[in-house]
Amino acid sequence: MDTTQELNCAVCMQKYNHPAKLPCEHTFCFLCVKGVFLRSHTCPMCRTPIPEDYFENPVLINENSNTENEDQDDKYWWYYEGKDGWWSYDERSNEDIESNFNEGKSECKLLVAGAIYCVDFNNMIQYRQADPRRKRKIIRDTLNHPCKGIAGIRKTLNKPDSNVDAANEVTDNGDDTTNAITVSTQSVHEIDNLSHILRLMSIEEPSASSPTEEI
Amino acid sequence: MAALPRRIIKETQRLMQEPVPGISAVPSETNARYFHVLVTGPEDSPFEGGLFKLELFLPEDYPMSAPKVRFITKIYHPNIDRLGRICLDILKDKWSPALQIRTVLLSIQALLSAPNPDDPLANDVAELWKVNESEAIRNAKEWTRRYAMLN
Repeated sequence: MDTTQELNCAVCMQKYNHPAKLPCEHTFCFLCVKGVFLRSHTCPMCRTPIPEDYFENPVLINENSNTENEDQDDKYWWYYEGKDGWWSYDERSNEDIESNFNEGKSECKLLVAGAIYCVDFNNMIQYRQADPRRKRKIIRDTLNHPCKGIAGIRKTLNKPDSNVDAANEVTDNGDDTTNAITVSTQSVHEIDNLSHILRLMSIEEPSASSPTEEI
Repeated sequence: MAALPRRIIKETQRLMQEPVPGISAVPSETNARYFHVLVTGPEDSPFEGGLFKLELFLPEDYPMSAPKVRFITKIYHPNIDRLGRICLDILKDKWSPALQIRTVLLSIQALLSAPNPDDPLANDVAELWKVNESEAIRNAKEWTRRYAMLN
């Protein structure tokens, strides 16, 4: 057997990216299992049903904290517009978008949470290929850009009201992968040991200037 | 356009480096999502000695959707129809994104060893398989000899 298999997510076959553990004890990347949930509602490994309310409080577990600890200050990150602020793309999508952007492409496609997204660099928008009407603005900025969290994993520390915000956003957006997912304070602590995530989440409030002006 | 997802690259590399016995899957030079597949007929089955050609296509949302697989070589089998379409649960409602190209092809090879006439796709074949199994097996062997043994 492939010894690396257990260290990799069975859905994307890569190192876990924000691993989330299901009640059946099987672990997948947060966005991978979310994509699975939107389609089949069962664990890809054992077919145990995924609880309907699992994503209201997913069990996010420790990642290896030694990833990319080097200086990130000169690095660019990509953000997409949410209902009341910006979300950072997950690290993997960010890497893909950035490399396509640097190659001078006018657009690129991403497979995120089981849906294909088009990222349009000319108009600085993203949309689902299956539903191009629902467009979201995107921006490219440093790590210090104000944002709500990563790819729908919201930071809730010191923000008791954000549960309500997140619930509303889920309702409004249906099954969009960019739904706000509120994680428990404990879960946030567990992922906080990734230094760059900590940096991403360290800014609570959006700045006064409108981020859209930078597009 | 989208780069090839890393999972597809990994699966392809592993299929090349550690091929499954009796199965070969080679991506097309022009489309990395399209595979030319060869499956040998399993021993002690009516398909033994045959070499079956299939095509396998990974849809854009793979692995959230199952690969699309079809026999190109004609085959006499109750779960495979005249167009080569395969009746196999894991290619339909029992698909799981934890399955892979190699596990799909192993399942298809296993289907050749264990035809299931109670869940037929080719009704006439399945009917004969149920009422006169020895004649059905004779037909399967004859088709194998005629279409799957080119040399």
